[in-house]
Amino acid sequence: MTMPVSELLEHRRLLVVAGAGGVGKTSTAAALGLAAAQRGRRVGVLTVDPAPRLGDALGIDELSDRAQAVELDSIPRNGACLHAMRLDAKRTFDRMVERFAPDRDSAEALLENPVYQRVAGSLGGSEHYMAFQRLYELVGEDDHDLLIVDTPPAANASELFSAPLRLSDLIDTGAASLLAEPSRLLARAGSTLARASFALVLAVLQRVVGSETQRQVSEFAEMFAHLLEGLEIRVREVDALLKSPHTAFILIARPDPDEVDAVLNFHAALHRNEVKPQLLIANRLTPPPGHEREQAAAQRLRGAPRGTLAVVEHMEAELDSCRAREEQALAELRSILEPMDTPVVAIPSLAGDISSLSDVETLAAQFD
Amino acid sequence: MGAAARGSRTALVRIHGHDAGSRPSHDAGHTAGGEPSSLREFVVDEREALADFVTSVVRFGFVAKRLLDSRTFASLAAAAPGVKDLVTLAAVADIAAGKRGEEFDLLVIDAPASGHSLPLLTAPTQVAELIPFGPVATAARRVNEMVYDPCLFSCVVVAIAEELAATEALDLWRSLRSAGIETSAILVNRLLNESLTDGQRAWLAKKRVSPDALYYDANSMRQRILIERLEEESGPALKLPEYRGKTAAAESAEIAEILSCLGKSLNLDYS
Ligand SMILES: Nc1ncnc2c1ncn2[C@@H]1O[C@H](COP(=O)(O)OP(=O)(O)O)[C@@H](O)[C@H]1O
Ligand SMILES: [Mg+2]
Repeated sequence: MTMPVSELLEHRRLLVVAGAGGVGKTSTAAALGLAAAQRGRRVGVLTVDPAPRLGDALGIDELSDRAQAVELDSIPRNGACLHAMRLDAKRTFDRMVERFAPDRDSAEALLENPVYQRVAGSLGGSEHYMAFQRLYELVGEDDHDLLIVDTPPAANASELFSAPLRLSDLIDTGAASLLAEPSRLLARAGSTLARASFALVLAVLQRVVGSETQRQVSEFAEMFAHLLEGLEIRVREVDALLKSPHTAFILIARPDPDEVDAVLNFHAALHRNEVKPQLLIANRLTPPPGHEREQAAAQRLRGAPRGTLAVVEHMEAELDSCRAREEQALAELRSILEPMDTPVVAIPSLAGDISSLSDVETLAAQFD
Repeated sequence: MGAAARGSRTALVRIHGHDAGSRPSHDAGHTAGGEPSSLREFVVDEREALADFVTSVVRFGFVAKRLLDSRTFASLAAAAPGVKDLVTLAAVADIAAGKRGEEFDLLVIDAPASGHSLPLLTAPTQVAELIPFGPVATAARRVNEMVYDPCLFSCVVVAIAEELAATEALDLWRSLRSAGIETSAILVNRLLNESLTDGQRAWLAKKRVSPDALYYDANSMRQRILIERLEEESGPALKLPEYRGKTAAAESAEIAEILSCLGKSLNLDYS
């Protein structure tokens, strides 16, 4: 059987790795990247929040936009490469301002505006939006033939897509959503309706932030309004990129019966956003028991230190019940997703954290 | 249930949100499990709390009705996220003050996921800064009298022993402290409850017996390292084992243990 992953690794140009926090998106993105590089491709992995030790392993512990080459003997020396990058949401936003502002001076004024700095920095939603923006830039730079983006943790797909994909619903979410979720506003920029609602947003902003900063707010508003049209075009371009046949969405999940509903909801929501997930990776399956299990524990453990029998029997029983639960989850996921053309691939859990390149290699080998 | 079992009147308050995926809602104020016990369970529904609050302020039923409409609620919550949190806490404060017709010794609030706990608890302060007068400000002051009184109010930060959860728990712990909110302990839940001795580990590795036991042991080692990292900052963590195949009995045993940990950390005396 050819792994369903192979087609993705060998032929796609963009892989988007999505899933809830902590399920292994970053680790899997790195492993997929390595597996593709081993197949001779020039790969860039853009990650949002690498776990500290994985960041160390990939050489991207410092917050940096710049591509770091990951050196590994298993990557062939025929031009193939693996680059790791970390998203810098603020700088990506800054570059968009520079790109779409009418001139240098107004770009600089906007970049220095305190309201802009608050909005561009850390407010909810902007990271998702910026991850896709950065991706768009990287596609344009053409240094890679496969880009893999590890998205910020999203509890559900609508969180992931509120930014680039939803262009309707304007009135509904309310004008002041700029405060809560500036990316939503960006997604709707450009239209007349958007301009009208933008004015409303500002009215609310002014009331909320108080008179002292009113001047800054209106300055921000004026300058930002100039960007709206450009941003609107960019939003559509990113949207088209995400829906292109060269792009594949990969969902990562834990094989846990308690999580099945959430995974299916995520999957359904992607569908509603006209995105068809091409693969579900069930990450961290308990590894299979050794062959020796055919023999009774008492026999295998003859001569072991005192107390070993009891503790080993307990541990083996616990892991068996984990396996049973995981099997149940996998069976449920397969029975629903495979008829919808989303194959399910399971990856075992390593005994420790993914903290070195050789761990990433071990994971990548799962895709052979 | 731990506290309830020892005869103190305990209420468990769950917060039902409307933006982070819907959770199951219960009838407010029923007795958990239907058993005769003094543990009562309340569900505070964000939307209803907001509607109640608005009705009490403006006294127009139709405004409240409009609020129950999801679109209106969504836009209001987006427009003023802090207000929604404030009225939710105000409803909790009502239960604490016995305004729902019953008095309690201990109220356990099942707060939303870590990313939202701090915004929830600091919302009253922020809202009060923006709107310093009127009924909203009064509600904010009343809630803060509860939240900032370390004799009355304390937070237990709960995490599973996983890298991401531990990092988030520690972040929350730090930010609660710097916001001046009392924290009593970090509780690590779903711990693997066995590990090998050095001698056992060495023997199994050498004889290549039971890769399962070695794998299990490596995972519990990984959990211990995480807990050490937490404890460096938070002091001794409270620990609960993993219950497999959640039976109702196991689940209530878990709740019982959490409550008794809570009671201990708040120095409640049930004797
Ligand atoms: N297959 C695996 N085996 C062992 N540990 C894993 C595996 N996948 C992920 N992990 C661990 O799980 C944690 C979360 O993984 P990470 O990739 O950072 O998840 P996410 O990006 O989804 O938040 C990390 O500590 C990582 O080392
Ligand atoms: Mg990650």
